[in-house]
Amino acid sequence: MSKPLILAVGVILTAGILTGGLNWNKQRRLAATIQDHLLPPPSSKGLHSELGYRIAELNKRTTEGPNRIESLAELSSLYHANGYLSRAWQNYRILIELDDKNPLWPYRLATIVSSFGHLDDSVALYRNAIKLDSEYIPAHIHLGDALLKLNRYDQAQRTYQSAYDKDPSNPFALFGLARVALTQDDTKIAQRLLESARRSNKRIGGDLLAEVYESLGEMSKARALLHDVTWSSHIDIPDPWLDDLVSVCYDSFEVAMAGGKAGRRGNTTRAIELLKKAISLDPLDQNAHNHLAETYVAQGDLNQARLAYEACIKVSPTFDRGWAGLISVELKSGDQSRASQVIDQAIVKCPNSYVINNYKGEDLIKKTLFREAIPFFETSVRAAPEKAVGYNYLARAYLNLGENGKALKYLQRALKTEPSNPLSIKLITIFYVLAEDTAQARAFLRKAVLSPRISEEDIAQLQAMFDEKFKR
Amino acid sequence: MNLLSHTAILSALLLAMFQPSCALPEVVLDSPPPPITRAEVDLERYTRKAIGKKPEGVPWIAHVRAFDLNQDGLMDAIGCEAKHDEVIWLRQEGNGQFTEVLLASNMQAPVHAEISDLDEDGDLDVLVSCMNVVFPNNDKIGTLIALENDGSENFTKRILLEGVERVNDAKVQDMDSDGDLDLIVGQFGYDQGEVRWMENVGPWQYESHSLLQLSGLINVCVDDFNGDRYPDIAAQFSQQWEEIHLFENDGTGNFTSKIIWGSTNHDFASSGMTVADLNQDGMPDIVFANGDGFGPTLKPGPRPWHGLQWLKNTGDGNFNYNRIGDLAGAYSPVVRDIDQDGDQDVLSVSAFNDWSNSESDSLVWFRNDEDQGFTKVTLAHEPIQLLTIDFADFDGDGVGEIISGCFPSAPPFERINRFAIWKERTSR
Repeated sequence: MSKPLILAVGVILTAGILTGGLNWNKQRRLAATIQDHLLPPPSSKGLHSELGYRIAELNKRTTEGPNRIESLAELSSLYHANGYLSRAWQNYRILIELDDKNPLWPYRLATIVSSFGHLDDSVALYRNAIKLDSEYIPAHIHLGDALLKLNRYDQAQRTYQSAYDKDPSNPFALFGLARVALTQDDTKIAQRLLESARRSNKRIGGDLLAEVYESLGEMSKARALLHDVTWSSHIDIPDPWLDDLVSVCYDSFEVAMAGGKAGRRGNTTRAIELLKKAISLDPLDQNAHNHLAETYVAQGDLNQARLAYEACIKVSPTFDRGWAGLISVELKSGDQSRASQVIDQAIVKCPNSYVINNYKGEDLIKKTLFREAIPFFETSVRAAPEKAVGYNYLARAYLNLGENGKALKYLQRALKTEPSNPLSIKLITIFYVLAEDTAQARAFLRKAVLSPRISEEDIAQLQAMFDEKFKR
Repeated sequence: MNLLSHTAILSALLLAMFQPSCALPEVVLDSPPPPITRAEVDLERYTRKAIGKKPEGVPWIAHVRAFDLNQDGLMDAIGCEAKHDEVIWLRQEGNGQFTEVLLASNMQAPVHAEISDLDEDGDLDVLVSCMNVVFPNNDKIGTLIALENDGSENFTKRILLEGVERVNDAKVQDMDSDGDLDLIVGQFGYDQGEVRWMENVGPWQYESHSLLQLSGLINVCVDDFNGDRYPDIAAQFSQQWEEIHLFENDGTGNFTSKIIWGSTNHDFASSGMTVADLNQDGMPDIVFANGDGFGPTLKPGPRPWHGLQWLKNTGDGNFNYNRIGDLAGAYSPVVRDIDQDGDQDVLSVSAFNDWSNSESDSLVWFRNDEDQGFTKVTLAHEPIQLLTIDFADFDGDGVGEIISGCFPSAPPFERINRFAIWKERTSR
């Protein structure tokens, strides 16, 4: 063999051995890093059996197998999805070290860290995630939120702006920019931004916008907004890097939570998928059955809603919300006779439920059996003395019986219980108009005007009644 | 390079690389480590005794506060019953016997009571925050009511504020250094809310000054947080904000505000805050809970991030965050030296938990290891759905007792009571 050939073979051999050695060393480092930092698995006591098996299996593959990073990633998701946040946190730390080009790890860790309020730490992690994938808008929004809560308004503004630049209709970017504007007392700019946010998504910004309108003296706009806004209207930003974790969640409550969130965002199809999953994890969960039924109602699918409510009362025959839902479906379907049958079944199972007693009383009122309805409404107010609804029903029953004194007494009790109950306010206004008590009628009409929960149409009707009676 | 030297270098490299006993340098992870909760169970530490009337139906005890209202040397308690609109006085008769006295009815869903000599006439009055409707409602139906004591524990109702977002909390302090007592008020509202202070401008006359309009206020706490000798205000907000704001007072009732803590988790579920010098360094710290169970499902329940934490006061109005421990449904943090070992511990209750599991936490003590490392000690699994506690020496033996109140907001309505006193076993 010639000398150059020997040399070439030597170089190739050396390069091969070096490469192999480096790889081997990398694997050793990888194994050692995982070994040194992985937290022990949680106790298997009380765990869903499949979850327990997967955790055990993945812990093994993470420390022994050939695909350790993939296994660690899977284990991290499993921990994160199932509420083992400290373990997920630790695993993401390891993954950031071993798989440093993947934005998912710093992002997910950032969301846990900033959830606990370690905002300074989270800023570095969010920035790392954005460096690795600058197109993922939720990372910009969360970073903006963290900076805002650190009182770093200029940086927050720039961060929200970067999300806005990528998507000028992003309601979360607009909302963040509005919050920054409010810290600078720039109410007019905040108003414009919040109005834009609400144009993009009606569930964003309504709460702050109402305050802004009121502070600017635009009371009619505030009133209209508050009438329109759904209570607790705020929704989280859709976040696939986190939302997808629910696919490996074994906790029926958490899955139902995710379903509820999807429903709030208006994605009832996804909500139904998740609620079905929650039920498959815990078939006896009456609340999940009920929630599924309500979501079908929201979709307008009364047949599926009926089936879901029937499943609900099958697993929990004394669960009054399930019965109430089923009754409402029959009423919505226009089948009064079937509704009456269901009400009679429900009252046997839930004799002390305020809602079922109200349905029973209402059913009797429809049959003009006013006197017979009263005991059911009396049971209702005993069961739920903090709610106006039973008193309202009693007032209506007594009005129908011509016993106005009693009717007034119950309307007053309704308003003592819930001073802003819209039906109570409307009924008592009408009562005083008919009783020709100008002062009281005017006072309650004024209360109605001030209450955003009463529609403009209803107020116009009340005003017309008032005018007709007193301004002739 | 000749072949010999080449081989020699290669051998050296291989030896270095493949030396199995050659330890790799330990990889240090850059990011901060996770908090780990250490846990124990000690169900024998306390005995429990129900006090007050027996429950009729499901009670809604929103707040309980230990206080010697009639100043007879025996510790009493004041409770708010939100469903029946009552403010209750649990008057101690001695020997651990309590008589339940109705202080005021028709109280518009009272949820918090503070005891103070509001009119400075030498007796103790009660300042009551009223939501009017406890569950979600954005209407301006909140009320702040004073129960004025005539000196013989007969109380007259005075409405100090009404027609505002639902009032959740109120404190009493001279905020403008003029020698009289002002009020600091937190309005939870729902989509709208507010924190304000009410300047005392004459007997039972107050002038409101808005500090911030933001929904979801849980608690306001007053103390000199920045060390300038003037009382400042800390306000905890839940809803989608999940923030604690500090309003620094210049001593004349002018405030500068900033956020001193926040979470980006809109479901963090802030649920209560108290002030205490947890590390005993002379500066007031903030201890707070997150455990509200309501969310976008039909029943409330526990979340994995629920628990307790504290903001260490580092001076000049600056704080840093520390997790104390996990507790599903955490509410009502109380800071006291529970085990009389000289450091400050934290008590809390679980208002929302997996009650189908008979081993879910109900009453929990976070034991301080003297250096603000905490071990979670489960003291009781029932009664369930406790919302409020306080801690005081009710029997005068030098060892504190716990008083608890129950507010079941969703089924199961079992294993519940109204008020209970928890006494440490003497055998310990």
